[in-house]
Amino acid sequence: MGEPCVTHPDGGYRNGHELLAALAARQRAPVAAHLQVADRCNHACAHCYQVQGQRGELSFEGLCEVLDRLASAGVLMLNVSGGEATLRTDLVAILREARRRGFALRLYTNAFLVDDRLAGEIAEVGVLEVHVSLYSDVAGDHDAVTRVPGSWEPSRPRGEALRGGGVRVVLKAPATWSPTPRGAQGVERISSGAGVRLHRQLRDVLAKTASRRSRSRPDPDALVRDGCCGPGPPERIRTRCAQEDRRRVLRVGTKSLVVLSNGDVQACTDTPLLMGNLASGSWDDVLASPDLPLFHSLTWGDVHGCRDCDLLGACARCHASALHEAGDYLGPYAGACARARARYGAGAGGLEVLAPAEGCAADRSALVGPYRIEAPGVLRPIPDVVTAEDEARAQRHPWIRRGEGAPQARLVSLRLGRDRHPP
Amino acid sequence: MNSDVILRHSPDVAWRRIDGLVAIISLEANRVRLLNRVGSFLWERCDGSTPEALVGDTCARFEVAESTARRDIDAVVRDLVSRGLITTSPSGMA
Repeated sequence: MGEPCVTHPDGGYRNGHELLAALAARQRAPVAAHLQVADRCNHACAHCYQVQGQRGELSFEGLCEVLDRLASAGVLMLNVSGGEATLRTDLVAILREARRRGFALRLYTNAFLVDDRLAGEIAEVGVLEVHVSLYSDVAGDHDAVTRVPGSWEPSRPRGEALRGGGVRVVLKAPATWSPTPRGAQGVERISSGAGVRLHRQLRDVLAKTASRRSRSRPDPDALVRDGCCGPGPPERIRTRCAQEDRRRVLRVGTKSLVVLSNGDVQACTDTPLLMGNLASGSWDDVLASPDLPLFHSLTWGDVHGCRDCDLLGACARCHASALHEAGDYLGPYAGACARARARYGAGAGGLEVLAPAEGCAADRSALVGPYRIEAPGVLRPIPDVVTAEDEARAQRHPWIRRGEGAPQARLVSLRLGRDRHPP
Repeated sequence: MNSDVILRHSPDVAWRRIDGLVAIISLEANRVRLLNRVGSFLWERCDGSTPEALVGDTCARFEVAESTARRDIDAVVRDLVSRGLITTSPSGMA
């Protein structure tokens, strides 16, 4: 994520991410928030894990109250998104109210509805960045992801309209599409040509229905082969798995929280844990959530399996995806392990996975870590040791585990076609 | 720096006091800056104040000689102005 660079009289921070994370850790409360203002979308992206149309949306006045509470709480960075935020006719007024309260704003949009007038109004409000999702430089490929025919044609020039208005545009290219991630490469070509920053998203994009899950996950080997995911140098991977790495704090729920379209507060968009509601409750309710201290104390040493894995340095796991896929927020899951193996294999020049080590469960799959590097390019699954402390944590916070994986959420995405496009 | 100009936060910044220190994000430069304790004290008084008033406030709040405070505040204000974080206008103007 393109956090602003940092300057600090005393130095000591590599970038704005680190500085804001340090501030959040110091006050043990978030300094950033992700505010979903719309519970609807005009695209129906194949990979999207959001379920639209069920929560409802806050009124303009309700959103202003939420903004008041976030400002009073010391939140500085505010990402405004949906659903698709531009479907709200009062979006500019919302952005203006947010700026009046001193937030640094990012707007997330697919830019489908951004015409010159809206671009100018957004520029006039003054935002830090506008992030525009684009899936390919080929119209058909883009539209295949959004599942809205003709969606590419207006999105690209409307990103240009924002830039023309003096807005800093960041192109977002989620690598979501199997069998190859060529879309991300295409967007990279666009960003290079236009001189705008590209933000690749390689995190899990796990849809909430089993039927969509397999379609939306990019093939890990293809990601590495096509340059969308860097190979992991073996020596770096071993270094990253040193003891101090176990003490490194996980970031979820610390620097930033998510406010859903109805005011519900979660640690991230896909962590199904309600920590309060900023429409009906107060920020103090969120701070009093018994789970907030948990997020601030979680380290890699609390993630069983992963903490013992030699590939941790190549891993880009998502805890929410772990819960949805494997039923354990703090345990290994096949999707992340596949990408870690692909990165390590690319760096090592090949990959062989041996039979599980002694002590592994009889039904242990070689597709899930933890792994031990036996020799360069040679992995062996080792036991996933779950301690009494892990079990006690799961008892104190039952949402961490779901015995049978993620609940199958009903898809209620609103699929608005071009017929809903305003004149 | 003229000691009676009016200092104001630039409209292109976002800032908060977080755990006692002021963090400022420059929308134009896309940078975040964290001020130390004295810098934070000055920043919060920079909106509608003059450098001369800042000197008085600083001497009242911290144990510092007036000449030292004046010199340091002049440097800080010049730095903030050069980074586009605060603006100046002649005193008497809105």
